[in-house]
Amino acid sequence: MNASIKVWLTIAAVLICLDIFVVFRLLLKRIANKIRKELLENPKSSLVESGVSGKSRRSPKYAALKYLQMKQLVFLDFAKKSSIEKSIDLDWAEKKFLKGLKSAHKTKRIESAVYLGLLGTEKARENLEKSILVEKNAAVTLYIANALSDIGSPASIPALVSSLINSNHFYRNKVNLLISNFGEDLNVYLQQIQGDMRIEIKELIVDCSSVHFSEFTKNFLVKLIDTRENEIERLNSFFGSGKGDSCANCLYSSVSPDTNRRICRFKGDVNATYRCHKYKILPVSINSAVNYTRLVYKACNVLSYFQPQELDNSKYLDNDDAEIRNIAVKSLANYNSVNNLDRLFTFLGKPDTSESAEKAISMIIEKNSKYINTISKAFQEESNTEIRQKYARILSRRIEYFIMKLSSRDRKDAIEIITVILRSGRCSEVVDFLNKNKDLDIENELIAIIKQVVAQSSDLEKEFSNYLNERISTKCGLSPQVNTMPKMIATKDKKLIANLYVLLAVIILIFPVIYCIRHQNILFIVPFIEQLKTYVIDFNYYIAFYSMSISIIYLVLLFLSYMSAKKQARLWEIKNMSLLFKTKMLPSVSIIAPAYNEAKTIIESANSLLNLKYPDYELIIVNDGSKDSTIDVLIKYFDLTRVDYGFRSDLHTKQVRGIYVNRSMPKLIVVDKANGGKADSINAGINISHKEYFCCIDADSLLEDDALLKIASLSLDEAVETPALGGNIIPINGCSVEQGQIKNIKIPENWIAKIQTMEYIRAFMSGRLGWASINSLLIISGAFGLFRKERVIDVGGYLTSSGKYEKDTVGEDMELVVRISRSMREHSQKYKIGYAFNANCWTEVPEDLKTLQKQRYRWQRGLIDIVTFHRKMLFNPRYGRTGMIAMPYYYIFEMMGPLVEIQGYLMVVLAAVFGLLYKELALILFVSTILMGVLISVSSLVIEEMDSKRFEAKDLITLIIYSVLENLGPRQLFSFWRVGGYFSMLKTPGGWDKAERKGFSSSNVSDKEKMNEK
Amino acid sequence: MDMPKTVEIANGIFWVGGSGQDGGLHCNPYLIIDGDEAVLIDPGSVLDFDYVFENVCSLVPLGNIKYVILHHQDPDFCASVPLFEQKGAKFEIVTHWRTQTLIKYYGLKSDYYIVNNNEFKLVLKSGRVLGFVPTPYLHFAGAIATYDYTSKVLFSSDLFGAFSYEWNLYAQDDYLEKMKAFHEHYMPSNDIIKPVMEVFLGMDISLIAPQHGSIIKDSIAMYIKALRDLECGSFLLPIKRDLAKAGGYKFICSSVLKRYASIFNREAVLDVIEDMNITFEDDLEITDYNYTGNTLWNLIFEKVLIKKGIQWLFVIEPLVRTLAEEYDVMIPAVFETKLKKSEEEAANLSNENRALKDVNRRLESNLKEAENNLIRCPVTGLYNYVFFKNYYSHELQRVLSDKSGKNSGLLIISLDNSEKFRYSHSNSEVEARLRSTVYILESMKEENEIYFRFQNEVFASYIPNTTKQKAVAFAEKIRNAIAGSDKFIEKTTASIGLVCFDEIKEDNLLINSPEAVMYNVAKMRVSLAISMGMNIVCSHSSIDTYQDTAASILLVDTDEVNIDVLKTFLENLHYRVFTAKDGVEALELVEQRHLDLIISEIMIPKMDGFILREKVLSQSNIKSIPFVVLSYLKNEDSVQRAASLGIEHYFRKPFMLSELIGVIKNIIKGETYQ
Repeated sequence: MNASIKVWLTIAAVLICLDIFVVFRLLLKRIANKIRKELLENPKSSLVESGVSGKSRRSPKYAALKYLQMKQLVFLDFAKKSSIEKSIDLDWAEKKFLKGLKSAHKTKRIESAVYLGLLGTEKARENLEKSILVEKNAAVTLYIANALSDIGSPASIPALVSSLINSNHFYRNKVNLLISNFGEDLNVYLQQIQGDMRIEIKELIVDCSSVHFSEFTKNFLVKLIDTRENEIERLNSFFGSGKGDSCANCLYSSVSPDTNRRICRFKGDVNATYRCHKYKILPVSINSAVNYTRLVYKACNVLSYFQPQELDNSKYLDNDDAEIRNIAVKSLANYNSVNNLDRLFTFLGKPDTSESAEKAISMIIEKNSKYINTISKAFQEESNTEIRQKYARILSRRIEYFIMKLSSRDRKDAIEIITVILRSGRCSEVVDFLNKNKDLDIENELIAIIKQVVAQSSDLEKEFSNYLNERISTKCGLSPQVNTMPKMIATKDKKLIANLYVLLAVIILIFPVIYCIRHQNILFIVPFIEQLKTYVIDFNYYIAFYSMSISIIYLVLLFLSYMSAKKQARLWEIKNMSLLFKTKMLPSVSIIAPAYNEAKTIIESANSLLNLKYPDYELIIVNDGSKDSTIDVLIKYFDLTRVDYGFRSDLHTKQVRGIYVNRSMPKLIVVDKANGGKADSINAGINISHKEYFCCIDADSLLEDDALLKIASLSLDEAVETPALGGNIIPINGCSVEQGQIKNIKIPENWIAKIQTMEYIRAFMSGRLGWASINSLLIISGAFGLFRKERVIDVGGYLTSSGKYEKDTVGEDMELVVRISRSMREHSQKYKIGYAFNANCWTEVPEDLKTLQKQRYRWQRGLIDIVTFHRKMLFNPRYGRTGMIAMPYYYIFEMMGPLVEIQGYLMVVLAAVFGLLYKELALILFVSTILMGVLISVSSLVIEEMDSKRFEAKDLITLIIYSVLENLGPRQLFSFWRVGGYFSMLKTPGGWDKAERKGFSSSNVSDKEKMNEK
Repeated sequence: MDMPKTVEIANGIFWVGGSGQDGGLHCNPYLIIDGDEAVLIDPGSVLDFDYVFENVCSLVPLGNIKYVILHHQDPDFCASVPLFEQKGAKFEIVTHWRTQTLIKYYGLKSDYYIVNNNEFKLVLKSGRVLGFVPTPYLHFAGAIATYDYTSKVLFSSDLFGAFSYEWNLYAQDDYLEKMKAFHEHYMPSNDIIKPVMEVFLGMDISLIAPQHGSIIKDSIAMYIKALRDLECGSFLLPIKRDLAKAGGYKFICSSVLKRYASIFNREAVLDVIEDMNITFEDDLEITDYNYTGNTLWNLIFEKVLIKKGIQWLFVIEPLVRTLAEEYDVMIPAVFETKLKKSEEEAANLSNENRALKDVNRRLESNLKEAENNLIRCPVTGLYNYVFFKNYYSHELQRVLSDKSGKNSGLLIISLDNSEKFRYSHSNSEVEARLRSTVYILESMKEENEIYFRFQNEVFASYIPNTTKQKAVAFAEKIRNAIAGSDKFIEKTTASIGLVCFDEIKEDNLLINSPEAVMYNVAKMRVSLAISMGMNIVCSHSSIDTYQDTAASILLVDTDEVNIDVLKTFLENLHYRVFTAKDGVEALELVEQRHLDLIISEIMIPKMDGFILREKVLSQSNIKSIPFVVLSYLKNEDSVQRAASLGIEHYFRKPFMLSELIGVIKNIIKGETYQ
């Protein structure tokens, strides 16, 4: 036996042992967890017991943790508290966490801060205050600040306030509100520091005033508004020209007990006027004037809410600044005064305040509907058409009231108002009313108005003929409008195709060329068949090393994944609900669910998405011109009404046909639009959304109820912006679903789906999590991802033919992430694209080979499209790790790799045919593909299991078996399909494939076309 | 005219009229020949005399005429009697004493046979009896009709007469409308015509021979009933009705067209409307039209004026005015301009006259209002309380006598806070609110529900055939529709009291006035509903006093720690605790158990806490269970939403245990006191 075989045999043996070890660990851990859970259950009940009975009983050590967790939920009264605390060993916990606070490990520091906050002892507080001043990681600081605000001792205020200085605005926004909870004590402290010129302090006072409004804050706000011009000038001179710089405002300095001195991180204790030139990177120095102006507006809004009379002053009503003027006008609606309405009428006539006046008047009606008549009178008396339209818009909120008036004696006024309302384009409510109405007289009255209006506007004619039901529409004399959609013609990108051909040629020729170079000595001497044999053997080595390198990359990623999953799991454990639900702690989210022909499952999905645990979110379902009854099913089930809903058009999309809501479900918005594909639908959803982030999700997927919370809470653990966050996808095929909730978690019965379950777990757990931990994640699945809206709008939204880049792609989800990374790097902004391994989204996967093949073709085409579109990033150091590692990986291994692999498989077959597959070669191939593949798969299962015991033991074993089977055939088949995808790209770049799906309730097998049809 | 001169309409009874008259009012004298005696009935006017005389003489010798019956004193009935006398006829004049006092001015010389003194009977020599039915004020105080017991023919005088430009001896299909037109003009009121028709209904009549119009051979009862139910006397007191209920403009326009068709003919009417944008059935009932109602109403008369001239307008004017008054619509413009002008020219009214007319009009409108209050509510067009009382007692008698066990329900619907509403809004807003309520009620209509409006903002609905369960569902539907409607100027709710007939029937079978019992129970339940906090359907009289020894509390949350902690503490305080992990499960528990309190998280699966609250609110029997929110989510929006759903206690987690327990204790105590 030769030496190299021995080496390989050893490697194989080690790998086999490793595989078996991992599998055993997986199974043992499950049992261990069960025991641990019981151990935890026990003290919980005894704790509650002792709290109730008042008798103290010695409890085990776990009890301390359990008690602290309980404290997150209930504030116990003193007697109960002391009786429980007597029974457990809290000193042990205190000591442990005080030590942890000084750990070098970030996660450990966070954990300790949280538990110390719950302990709330004097010692804990003092230590937290100390560490908040020296902590450098903003994420940790946030947790400490939260702990201190939970303890709630006024002594912590100065430390908390000084942590604000020079921190980024994400931190400041959150901590300002935490500090606001201190109430009256804070008020006293703020009065002491009100003279501070630093913008952080001013922000703090403004934010606090929105929670605790007092005489002091009122005066402060007024002063802030009145002196804004001088202040902006001062800021400009300070940050703009570089004069007057000092350490007092430096990122690296902190407050010293002596007000004239600062503690600099580099120089130690220095004079406050000490200058080094780091001031230029202070967070507050960027856009200081703009930020200050924003603060002033915020102050105005707070005043307008609490003391609107204060703004009722010509100083503000006629202010030079249009925004202040508008806020002042709006504030007129906030307090009762006889002539406010009359004054608002005059503001309605002025072009720059008319919009706010309109809002203000609408608010007044909302509060006191009696004023409707005052307004309709004003409408009658007004002669200016434009202003009349404004009145009409205000009155249109109560259009049903006026419609009812049509049957009464003073119908003349009502006719006039309705006519103007319709002319101003607000006709959805009338259409809706007419379609439901049964009263012939009202119907004819309305039709007469419509006829008159339609004669003057073809837009309205289109609107009415499209949405009125047929009988009424013919009665109005409207003929149905045929919308002739211009047929999409897929244009061949000739340059792209040429490039692909070149690449193909290179890949096919590179190995023969290498062979020629290596064996040039025998090139023309040895007979052809012998040469072929040599070539085959060579190639087999290449392919072995190729798979080896992929496996090694994966193992590295796997290791990173494991670490990062562990960290995430620990952090999730301590992120208690009361933290996550604090005001502004988590960003607000719009869930955007595009739906194309989803009539069967849309209700299940909508129900699931409407009942998530999350502080502030809305659900926007976008019907992408479905050919089935998707929209009708929604309207019927949720009793929706078509409304005129104002929205922005930051992104160009296909025409939005209508927006539907139900007032008793403020969270739900349904959008009906012309067919334009998934990306176009999400863009439309983005235009309509109102929240800071948006979460895109396939309408046929289900979210676990805390998935959104888990994915969004990642933003708390990063000190930088998180423009995009991804979640975990798991096949739902085997599960049973009831009213949008998964009732039974089971792996699919179909073997194709089972293989995919394993494949998904491997890809997400080892791949995405690993890439995310080195901040090079480039794929966030379109089925579940969270994006910062502002960023996405900045980069032009999803790629669509009607969008900014006038380009379509099948891989729009990946493309967007790449574009965001690219833009962040180009603007040298710090960011983190994260991946939440425990935020689960369940989705349908194909159960037959044909559909699966189509899906894989599509994925590969998408990948090729994106990698070539962004090839500028390839090996470009400007794009950091993304450009140097991630993009090349995708280019080489994901895009070109399959072409190599396929050649390799061919050669393996050839080698077997020629009888050349001798032991060593076979062994190397076995080690590099099968054993390593199995190792990666089972390790992924370990990570997957870390969060929760999702699958039953029986299913888990099945998955382990499939993790072996998957490497024997399916993986090769998938590679084959990827090559197919490559070739299909050469033929037809347009014309999407359809994937077939079935409904959730697995019994009704119904084929359904997916989003991608054009 | 090649019509036969006389027609034998029944055995020995002849129509002896002339046929040459113009003006739409055709007179019909009749002759009864009984052996050698003959009786002439209402011989007619001077103009007709030649024909009638010739006809009579062709049947019997003049001397045989022993009696002439004069039903009342109008010249078109009696003016020719002196001429008969001059020709040498000798007869007794059979009439009412009141008529006698007037007809003597015709210069009659014959003797009188006063029916009042002869038991309203005339016995002929052969023993044949003619009976006289007094028909007072139709349209003369002493009017009578004659009934021949032998042939069972009713000589009805003016009753059952008609205007017609196309006369037929026997009534055709369109006769009903013509007849109604005539009666609306000449007969004073339904109150007067109704009892007479009731009498006719009780008689065995084979033929009606009226003095004007056509002889009625078939469907006699139908004609009698039509007159019994006719709202006549339109010149005196128009009855106001709800246009929408009657069928809208469609209905009044159809009536006009039908009237025209009966007076002229169908083809002429088609000619008028041929180029209008309406669809109609063969009988000229309009099925759809494409104008505003008001436009259609005006347009018809404009077309009539253009195509047929002012004559057609004159003919229809009374009907139009009646309809306009009744249904509160404008008189079409052409009448106001053209007609008024020609009228004024013709009459040349003096100023004094006009002033008088004004006085009259005011008087009329006063009278009208008084009348409106009698049957219908002027604002809503629904029947009023007075009508309700009559109607309801009849209905219940019917239900009682019906052994099939049919059950009927009565709903009393009272809009909440109506005092406050009236105080803070104008009168026209109050009316608008009433109208919108009626719109909603009408759109809720399922089968044969009838709505009434009582005083203020109280409505009632009678459901003829229902079950308690169905009635409750119906009431809840109404309550929710009103509460959820956007048609009112401000949010409006209604409290509803509901009673089903079987409830009281089971109790005692022999109650004196079931209608009063039903009404009182329903009324009591409304006030119960109001006192229970309004916006409630109350279908039981006694508040369920059942109280568990310990109060029951439902906890809805997915957080196990929370459920554990609270459950332990609450059970320690001797409360019964149920738990649910999602909204659907929770709602089921609420519906099944008798609960005293619901404590719920907002973010729960399947149905969130707010929707759960909404669903609970939509069922009256559980809506008053106190609802406490205990959630991590507490922000401006969620708190506002909670407030709008009437949730008073909204705790944010982490919560203070003592505070929550305190609130729970207070709420439960409050419950026990109730």
